[in-house]
Amino acid sequence: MPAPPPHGLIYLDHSATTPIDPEIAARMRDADDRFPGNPSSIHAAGRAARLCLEEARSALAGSLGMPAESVIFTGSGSEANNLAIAGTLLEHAGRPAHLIVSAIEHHSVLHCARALAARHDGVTLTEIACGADGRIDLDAIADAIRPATRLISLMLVNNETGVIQPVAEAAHRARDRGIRLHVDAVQALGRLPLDLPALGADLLTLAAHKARGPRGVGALLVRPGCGLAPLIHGGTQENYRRAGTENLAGAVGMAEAVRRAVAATDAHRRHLARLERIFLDTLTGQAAAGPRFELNGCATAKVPGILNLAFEGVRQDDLVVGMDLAGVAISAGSACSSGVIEPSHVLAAMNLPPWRRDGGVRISFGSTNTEQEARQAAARLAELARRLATSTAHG
Amino acid sequence: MGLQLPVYMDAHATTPCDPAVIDAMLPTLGRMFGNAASSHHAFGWEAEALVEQARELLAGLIGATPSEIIFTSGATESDNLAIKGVAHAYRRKGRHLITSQIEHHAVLHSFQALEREGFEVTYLPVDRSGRVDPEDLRRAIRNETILVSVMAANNEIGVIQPLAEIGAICAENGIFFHTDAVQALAHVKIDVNTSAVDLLSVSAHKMYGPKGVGALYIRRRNPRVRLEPLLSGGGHERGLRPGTLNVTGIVGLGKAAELVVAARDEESRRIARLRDRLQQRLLDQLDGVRVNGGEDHRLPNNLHVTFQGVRAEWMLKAMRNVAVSSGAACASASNEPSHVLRALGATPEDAESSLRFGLHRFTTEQEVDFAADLTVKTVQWLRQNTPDANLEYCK
Repeated sequence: MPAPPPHGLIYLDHSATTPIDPEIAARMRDADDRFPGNPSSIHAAGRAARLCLEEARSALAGSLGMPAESVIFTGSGSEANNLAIAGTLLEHAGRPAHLIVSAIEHHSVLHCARALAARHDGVTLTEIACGADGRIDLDAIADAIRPATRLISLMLVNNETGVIQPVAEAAHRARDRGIRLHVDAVQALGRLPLDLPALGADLLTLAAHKARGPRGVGALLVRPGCGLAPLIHGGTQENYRRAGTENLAGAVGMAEAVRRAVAATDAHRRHLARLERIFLDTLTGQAAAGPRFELNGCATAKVPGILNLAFEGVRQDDLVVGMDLAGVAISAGSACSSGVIEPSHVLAAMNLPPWRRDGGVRISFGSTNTEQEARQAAARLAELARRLATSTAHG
Repeated sequence: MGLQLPVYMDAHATTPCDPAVIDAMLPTLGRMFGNAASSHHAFGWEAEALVEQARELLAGLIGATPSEIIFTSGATESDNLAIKGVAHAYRRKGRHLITSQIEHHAVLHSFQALEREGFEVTYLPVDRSGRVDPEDLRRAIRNETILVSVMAANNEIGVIQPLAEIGAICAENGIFFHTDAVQALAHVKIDVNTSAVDLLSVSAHKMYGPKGVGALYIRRRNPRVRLEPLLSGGGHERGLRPGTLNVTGIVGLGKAAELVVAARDEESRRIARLRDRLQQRLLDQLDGVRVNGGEDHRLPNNLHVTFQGVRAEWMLKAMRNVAVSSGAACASASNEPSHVLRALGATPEDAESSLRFGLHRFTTEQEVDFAADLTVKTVQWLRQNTPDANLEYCK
């Protein structure tokens, strides 16, 4: 039997995943009930499912002001990132292709880029550094551009620090050079406006479960006219760009999650900013008795609701485990690893002092969190940090 | 219970989700929402426990150990990962691959993608009943052969392949054996050890589970199979398949597997009786009818019939109250005559005059009789009223 449900716990790990919105779950259930057919079947059951799928596609695209055909549904944000990068680089296989990514990208971008460069003779890769503020170096991008550069892939919001990346400015430097821009907007959904033309983005990745939609579905938005080589071969689904029976309920859930996230972005930001301020105020109010702490990443260039904090003399894993025992779920960076806390490549790229680099924990708020939860969690964190700092100093 | 229209008889395209599967998934759409990779708090542990329980249930279905199962977004992805993954990991050992002419497009198109990379592929023919001759396989094997992929049961004509014989030949020759078992698992017992299968693709939505989730069995001992992953990213699924785990879908797949183990043998006998009833009625009441694929090694739920002189597309339009199909759902956008029927030696006219009936767990005798009557009436009407137009159209 699975472990008992974590009732009464405070969940502050929304950058890892968010609880699904019950109304979205109900819509998915409804889609499953009403459209049992395979959307690629040509009988009435199939056609009804297809219609529902295409409505979801239009709705998702419409939420971002894009045409329906720009949406490719995938199995996850990771897959959408892989498709954007490998699909662009391998579209003209054999031709030399240079790729620029930042050193603080999600592993699904970074590892995909490195794997391509390692496996394909023609593919070369430049990884761009970032500053201590957690922002990528724009000049380094301009310097890295060469005639063979085919793609620049940048995240809009970093998943560990919440720092907003100067994507539109990077696009500006690549403009008129025939270089495509891919934007991993997984963490930005619901926190920033997502406008592909304004960002200068040719490709944009979204994941449903980071915005109260279901797990197991993501999307790549592709500017019309951008060719892509498929990663997964098989049937003709997704206009030949992604084979596999369409996840109809997932697509319905995702379209609704994106619609709600986009419509509620301003209110959501205000809610997150309020929780974050209460959390930081509570923490600061109790800081005199505890160790020094710092925010990793630029406080003025980040989205509200994601905090990366380090406490001097306190170990990261002690904080995460200690907070879990205290009933608060936080994390040590991203969730996407195999169960061990690995050093954060994001904090490492920021060239922080060792205590801030190795000690960073991520607290990420969501729409279901309350002010009381923010206050309680901060109080427990302050108390825990104080206790850990003392025990370390004495032991 | 009265007859509910339309009658769904296209189980090879997708099966209705079992209500017990939906019930099992619902808690994951509510309070059990954690990210299974969040290893440092209770929300993550709970999700992980659910995933591991599903992994055990699925392993139990095919006689594997849980650590040999990885979850994917669907069987198309599983097929791509198995085939390209082995080819890329063992390319130094050899560049020759063997498959059959009647595989699903997820398999065929993966092989075609590898051919473009310089691999050599042998496509084994099949006999009139659709079976691969193990002796043909033996003759096709070369020193540089690294992989054989033959499906367990075909998605159009339902023919079941001699897996154990193929597995034994592969094992003798030190060649990995992959099977796409998507259509077979709900109806036929497959044991990866008895059949010496090294890789096996699973789809949830062809065995009464949800769409958007599948799995790949990868043998870990005697021999251990290495794979180069298709996607790069986090360390999920032992690094073989990055992307946040679709906990809801995975729980559904686990439950679907559990239900199959409990009910399969009796259910298969029941479905076979219904299928035989349908077949007998069509054969008794119509001339110019031929059953495709052999009757000795056929899925209990499959009936594939050629109605001479009647175009399937017209039948589908006329038979609005019975959802059947004229071939694989995934190929419906391409409108090409079935590669499976062509491999059996059917003429293009016959291939375009055939319907596939796919019965399932919820099919009733009443539905079978209704489908039989409607099919008979439709064929008779089309033959009487538009014989010339039909024949003309077929050319």
